[in-house]
Amino acid sequence: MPMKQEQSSFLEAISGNTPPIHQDSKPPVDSFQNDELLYRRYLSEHFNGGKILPASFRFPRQSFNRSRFSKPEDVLHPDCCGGKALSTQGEWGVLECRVGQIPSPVGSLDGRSSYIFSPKHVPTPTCYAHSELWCRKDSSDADEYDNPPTSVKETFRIKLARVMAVRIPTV
Amino acid sequence: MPCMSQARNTLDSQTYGLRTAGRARLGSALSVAREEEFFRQLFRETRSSSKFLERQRRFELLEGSLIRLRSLSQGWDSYDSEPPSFDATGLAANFLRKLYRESFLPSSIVPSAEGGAALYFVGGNKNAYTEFRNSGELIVALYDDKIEPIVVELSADADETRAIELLRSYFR
Repeated sequence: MPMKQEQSSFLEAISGNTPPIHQDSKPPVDSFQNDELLYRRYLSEHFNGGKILPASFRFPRQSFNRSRFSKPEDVLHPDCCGGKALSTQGEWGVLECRVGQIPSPVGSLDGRSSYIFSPKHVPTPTCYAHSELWCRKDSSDADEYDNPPTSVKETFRIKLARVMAVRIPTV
Repeated sequence: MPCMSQARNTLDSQTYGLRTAGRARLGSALSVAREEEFFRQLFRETRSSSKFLERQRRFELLEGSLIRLRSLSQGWDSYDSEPPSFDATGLAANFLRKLYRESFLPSSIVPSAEGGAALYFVGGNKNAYTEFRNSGELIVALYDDKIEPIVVELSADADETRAIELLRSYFR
């Protein structure tokens, strides 16, 4: 599906025609600084009253681009959208938050367990900056992914929505 | 005694005149009061009818949002999210009708990236949402900018009344 003329021009203008960095056999970089930014695209309908809605996030492993290897607008580029142009049905913008703002840990309702959320660099062939938010019980190994209970998921979605700010408004 | 009789007649005549004038004034005052009450009632009815129309218009817009959710396809958010199922949007539509009858409409209805339909409520700095999940769950979440969010898990086909009670008491 072709992109809207204005959306296509907008992307070219803001990206300066530079595509996102491709992986090209580069290995992931495990470490994240607390002040590194994470970028994520959003739909205009998920932005209401000056805030992003928790409905914008889903489990597991929310996708982001890390700023160390990405410009904010890269998340709107087909190379970072699984090779597909964004649907012309929606209006898209870019959100950001600092790694240090990720709400973690989040306790379960019964208070028995606590879940730690942290970014993980998971490059794709055409989007080296691609990263994911991983979740694990505080007692699990760092490389494990633990699926949290519903109350933890919802609490995390709400807290994540609180810290996400608009970097590029919807067009 | 003609003088006395004449005087009584004059007095009776004056009293009658005063009574007539008094009745006329009272009648006029009552008429003004009735008129005022009539216009007050008319104003109340017009205002109430305008509120009714406003509520009706809002309900139709929300219903339209819900219908549009049914046309979404897999990956609608570009992050491979499931579209809201027919069952989830159907349950959300029933819930919306209940809210309409209770004069408690949400501010927006959007697709949820978790798979389902989400109804958002905003009142001052308080926020809440109910999500009708494709899985059959009904989630109610109450939150603002500061407090720890309150999350309640319900069953979508049985706990709608409980969901409305929770929302109402949170925004009271």
